[in-house]
Amino acid sequence: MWKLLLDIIRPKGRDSKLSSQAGPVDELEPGSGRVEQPPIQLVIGLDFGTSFTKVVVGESRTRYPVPFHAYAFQGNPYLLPSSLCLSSESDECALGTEVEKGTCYDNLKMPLIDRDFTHEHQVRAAAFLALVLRHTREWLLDTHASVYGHRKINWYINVGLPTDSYDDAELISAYRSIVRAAWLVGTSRHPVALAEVSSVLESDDSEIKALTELTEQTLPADRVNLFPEFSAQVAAYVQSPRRREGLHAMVDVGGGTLDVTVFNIHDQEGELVFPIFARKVQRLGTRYLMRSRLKAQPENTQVGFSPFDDLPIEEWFCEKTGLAESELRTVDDLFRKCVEDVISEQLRYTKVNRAPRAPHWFRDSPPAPEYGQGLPSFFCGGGALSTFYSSVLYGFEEADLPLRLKALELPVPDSLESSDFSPSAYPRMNVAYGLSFDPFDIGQIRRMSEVPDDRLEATGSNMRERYVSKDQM
Amino acid sequence: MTEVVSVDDPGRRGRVIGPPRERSDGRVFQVQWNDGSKSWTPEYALENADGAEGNVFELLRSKRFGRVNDLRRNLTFIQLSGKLADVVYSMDTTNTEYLPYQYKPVLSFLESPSNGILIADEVGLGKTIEAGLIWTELRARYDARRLVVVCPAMLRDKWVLELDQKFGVEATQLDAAELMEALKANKNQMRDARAYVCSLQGLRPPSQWQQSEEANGRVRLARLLDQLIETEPSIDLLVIDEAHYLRNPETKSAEIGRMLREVSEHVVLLSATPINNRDKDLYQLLHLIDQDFFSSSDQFPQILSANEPLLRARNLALDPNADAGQIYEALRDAQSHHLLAESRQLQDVLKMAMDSGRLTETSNRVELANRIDRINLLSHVINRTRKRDVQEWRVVREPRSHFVELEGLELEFYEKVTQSIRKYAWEQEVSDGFLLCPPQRQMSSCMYAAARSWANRSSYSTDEVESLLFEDAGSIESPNGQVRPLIDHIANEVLPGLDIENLREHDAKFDGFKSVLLRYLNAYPDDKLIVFSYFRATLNYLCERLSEIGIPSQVLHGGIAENKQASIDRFRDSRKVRLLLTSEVASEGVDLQFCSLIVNYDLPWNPMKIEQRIGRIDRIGQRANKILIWNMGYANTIDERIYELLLEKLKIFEIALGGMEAVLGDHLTVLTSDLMSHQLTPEQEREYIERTYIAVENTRRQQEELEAKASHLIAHGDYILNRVRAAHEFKRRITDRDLKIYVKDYLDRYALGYEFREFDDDPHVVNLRLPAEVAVRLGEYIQSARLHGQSRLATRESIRCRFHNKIDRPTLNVETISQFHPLVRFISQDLRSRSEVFYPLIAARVSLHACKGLNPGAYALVAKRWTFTGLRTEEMIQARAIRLDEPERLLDSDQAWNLLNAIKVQGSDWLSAQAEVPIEQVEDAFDNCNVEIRRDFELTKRLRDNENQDRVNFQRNTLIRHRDRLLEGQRELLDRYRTEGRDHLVPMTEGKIRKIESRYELQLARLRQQENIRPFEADVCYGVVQLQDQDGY
Repeated sequence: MWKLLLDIIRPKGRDSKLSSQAGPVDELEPGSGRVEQPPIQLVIGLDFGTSFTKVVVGESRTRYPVPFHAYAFQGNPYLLPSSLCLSSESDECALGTEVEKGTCYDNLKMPLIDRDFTHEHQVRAAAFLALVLRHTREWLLDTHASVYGHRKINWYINVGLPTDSYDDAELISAYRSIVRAAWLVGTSRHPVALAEVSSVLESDDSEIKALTELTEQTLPADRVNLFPEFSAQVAAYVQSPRRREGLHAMVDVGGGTLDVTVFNIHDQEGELVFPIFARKVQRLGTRYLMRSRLKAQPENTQVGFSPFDDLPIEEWFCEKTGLAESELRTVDDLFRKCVEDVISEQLRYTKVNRAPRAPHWFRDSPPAPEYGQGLPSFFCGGGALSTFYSSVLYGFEEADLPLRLKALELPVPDSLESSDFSPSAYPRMNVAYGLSFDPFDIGQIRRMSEVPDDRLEATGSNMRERYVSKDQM
Repeated sequence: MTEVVSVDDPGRRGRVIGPPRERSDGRVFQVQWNDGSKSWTPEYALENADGAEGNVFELLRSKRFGRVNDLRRNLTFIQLSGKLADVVYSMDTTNTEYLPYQYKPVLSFLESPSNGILIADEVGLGKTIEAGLIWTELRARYDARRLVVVCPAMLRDKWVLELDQKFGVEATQLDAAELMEALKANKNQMRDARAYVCSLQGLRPPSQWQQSEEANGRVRLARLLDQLIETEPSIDLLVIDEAHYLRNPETKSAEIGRMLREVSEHVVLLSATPINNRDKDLYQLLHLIDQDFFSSSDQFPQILSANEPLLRARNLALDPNADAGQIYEALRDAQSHHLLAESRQLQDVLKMAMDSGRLTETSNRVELANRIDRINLLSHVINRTRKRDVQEWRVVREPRSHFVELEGLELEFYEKVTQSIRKYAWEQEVSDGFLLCPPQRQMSSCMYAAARSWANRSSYSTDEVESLLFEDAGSIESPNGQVRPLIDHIANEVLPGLDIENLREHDAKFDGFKSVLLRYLNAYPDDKLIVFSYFRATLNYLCERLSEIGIPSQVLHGGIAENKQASIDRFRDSRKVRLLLTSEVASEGVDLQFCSLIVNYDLPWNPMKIEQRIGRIDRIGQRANKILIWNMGYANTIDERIYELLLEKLKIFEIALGGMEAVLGDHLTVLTSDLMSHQLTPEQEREYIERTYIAVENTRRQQEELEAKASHLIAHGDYILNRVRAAHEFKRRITDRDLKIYVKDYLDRYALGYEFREFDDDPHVVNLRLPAEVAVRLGEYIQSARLHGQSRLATRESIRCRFHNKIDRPTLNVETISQFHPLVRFISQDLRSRSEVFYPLIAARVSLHACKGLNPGAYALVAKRWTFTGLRTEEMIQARAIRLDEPERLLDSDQAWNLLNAIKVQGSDWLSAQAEVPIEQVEDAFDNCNVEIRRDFELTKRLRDNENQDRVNFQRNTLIRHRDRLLEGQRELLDRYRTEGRDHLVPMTEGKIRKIESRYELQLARLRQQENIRPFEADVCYGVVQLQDQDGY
């Protein structure tokens, strides 16, 4: 293992590639010594999703979405199925969803969310992330050799945490171990093998400590940072020119969970803080919807679905499974009701208990411009793009106060370095993009429990301008 | 607070806010960047801004390259200043199709020393659009506010509509009294640009208006204009459409034209027919543009004769067989002319012509020719484009005649009516053809409709028909109901005992029309057509008959209440109606090019009238390659003989006529009179018509010779057209994207907390809300610049805006942000006051297809901005570039500009430039570019200096002449008052004299100040550019 840890090197193949690209430079620059360049900071924004993993690497000037061409999901090079393939002939791991001889694991993240994980689960997740980080680093240094090849790089890794686990010390610790093990293994010259990943993960405290010291030069502890996916979503928004302060809502539809948060955005003397007023995470993500649908299908048909598939459109599903449309509607309506209830509950709770004076629903005299406009909201996560969820979510744009929402569109940021990015592909990259900022630039959430209620009697004209009171910081 | 720059993006500056934090790799600082963003940045990625200053070469040596946006910002800022000579600000910003020749008058106008131009394009080339483009250009460059259009009454609607739809200008129709009120108001107090459209007839002052006791609007307007002469120009641009009506200096039309000109800064005259067999006509129009330079009709031939050797020299310069000596001789000839004796430009060109070595290269010869062309005294005062010169013009005219035989009752009726007219002429001793022909023509149009309307005399409208036919017969005076007795005479002689309904049942002409029409409608189920007739009775009859056979049609004539344009729009948009039956009202000033067939149901005799009818569909915008002209008529009648012997032989249906209106008029008057007032056999009729043909043909030949000569004498103008094409090709204009980046960049820097919400479906649409402080300042700017009502952004509301560099009328829902929008103007003004320094060194990547003609590889590029301030302020951007692999070969300035613009339009950051750029080579290349640009600068400065000197001399002489003319007038008055003993008027006149003297003294002093060009040079950018193909190689 020590050997492995000392073996951190530049990615394979870089030398040959570099020489072909850098050759002309040397020819053009006879005898002139290179100007000494300071190190450069690169932040890997890693959005480890239940179904797909997305990566964006951030630098001060630009941000690169990382393509996973060979392994990517149907036509979208930036979506990597969160799946690990294990050869039955060796201990070697690979990315992909299919393997000739061996097994593919696609349930890498769910056990973690469910707090139902074993050491095996952790090993698989770490092995997968090791491959992702290896690919990321190699890709960047290959394709941008002339920009970064000759410079010392200070790597940072920002990882999205599943939903409301910000307080879950056990989960945070597990994640941290997984990511650091992944980095160590991913940057080695050797193939990624489960045994090695396992041994890194199994190291006891003192060994970990020893490891940390040894790898201080490359990845100190403060270079791996964990953020709730929520913060990353908001980071993308608050770094965009369209940011506004005040009350917002976020509905994140992932493969596993539906995450509804009502929160404030506030610039506190240069520091972005997001006090959270209401929040609920429920297992109402796309997989649960499919689960409930599949349960309803006639017993003799038993159609299965890959977790990487988008939600099928309703007509197609019925045709395939033989389920009557009316029956599907009954199943879906039940599920829809659950989703709507979670969202409505959070909004009502915020209106009644937490922020009754928010200008979006508090009728002041004269009313604020925001009054009646709907609470600015992010609809995010891959599931939000499906017909089922988008019809539920956009239904809230027509709802009565205080349940009215106004969806915020997220345009592709100028700094994203890619020529083939379509605006409709961007929302799925939003979290990874947000994670690619400097850790200090990703705002701090204030836990629900730390945010006091806003008192109705404490009125003031400036409240409309910037909806947050000091005691809510 | 410490000012810092980013090590990896040195164009990015900011300041550190608050204390640092510690991290394992060192300290991290929170930086508030100038682009509005805020981020925590490691100390090693920052530099102290003080130490980062330095010249370009120091920045290059330390490899600190800025980004493409640094260049974009700077370039757009310069372009929006509205002074760049090479940018055509009106290009692609109006709702008109891009046609290069239409920008020729725009560029000529900008260089016109007389601040005016005569646009004498042939019919159908879009003179209205050219005038609109000039107005748009003036607005962009000089913030022009007040446009006055004077046109024939029937064209007013069209002007209002076109100004609105194509140029986003709110136009109002005014009569004399209203115009007077409008001119009284202070121009600078006006809310943005406004246009006033007036009819020439409505403004003409009555004779003796000076003495008139009347106080009607026209008199009051004339008096006001007389007073305004002594003040600053109160009209920014005066456009006179159909300016040939002002050719005769004795008329009141010419007088009001001169008076309006006196109070206008700029003038544009439009006329398709300025050049006739009378040189004086052209002179009169030029005199209207610049009374002082074109001060006497005797002097005009001198101008033409001064131009003659210049023209010769120009042609010699382009002739590879001509040697320097010949060119030199011709130029010396020109110099001997007193009008050109002092021309500095000519002196300079003479030196160039002497250098025979230079003339071995074609490009130098072209340059010499262009420079000679610029000296031409008329080159920027007249623009004439003919259809045959326009590449975009490919329409073929295909005429067909459908003449039916007269038989039975129709033949009888025809002969009776013709005899009756001739008898009347003989008995009443009327020899004026135009009084005799209307009944004859109406009968030939449609016998049944004619007989019915004569029988029902109350419904017969003589006025309209008469005046139209009078014009056809070449007369310009109105007949005032003189035809009525003749109609009565015919009705009494012919109608009794006539079976009118029988004429309807046996209408051979209609039957012939019906059969060809049905075939056409079936063959071209999507096409529409226009049927012309002089007579309402014919039109109504046709509508009736067509409706009976299930063909819906729409009738348009002067008696219809609906607005002409609305009626045409309805026809164009209707799915059902495919036929427009129209009188001559649709033959002038309307666009019907969505049709490709016109039917002359009755035939004008005057070729000009035919040209006008055809001109409705044979014009810019006609999509068909071929247009059809059907001529309906009766065989063996005067109509057929005129068709065969005159119109067809003149090829009037196939070839556009050019400007022969006045000439033809004279011939037609004689012919009509001959044909109608004598008892003629068909042979005699033939003889008369053939005689007319020969006369017309002779005149036409003379006319063409004159035109050929005059066109050349006027100016060649190819170099202007080339400049237009270059401006378009190299996108020397401001795009939607430029505007968006410009505004967003400003907001990022100076408007923290703004809302700029973009939308998925259109990247140029945003919801924009300004923060309070900026909104207030914008409001103040709008107030001071009088731009009320053009933007709601100062309200602090969130406004949906569209970045679109077209001048649209504001809509309720979306605000269009063009180069004229108050926010853009506000930003430019604010940036000027901040005099911000732009980062000078950038590294960019550009794909090869954006730079035609260049090889892939690394380039070094230098661009500078020059400002020449003299009589006017002109800016230009000059660029030079070198491919690093070919260090000896500089790119010419067009190619370099192309490269510069490609960076702006589609360049991306070349992040690896630090590692890939060979610094020493680039340094050498920058040096070489600088040397070449210095050379370019010296040459350009000399040319500008010469031009400026010539122009100042020209204006000084003109000004003195003008002053002397005014003073002479006033002194004469003074003498008269004294001799007549009207002493009370003496002090007032003396006051006027003093006022004139001091005003001109001031102007002359201003000229002296502007006599010498003051040049200024500033860096725009130094760049290293990697030009690569799609794959990055």
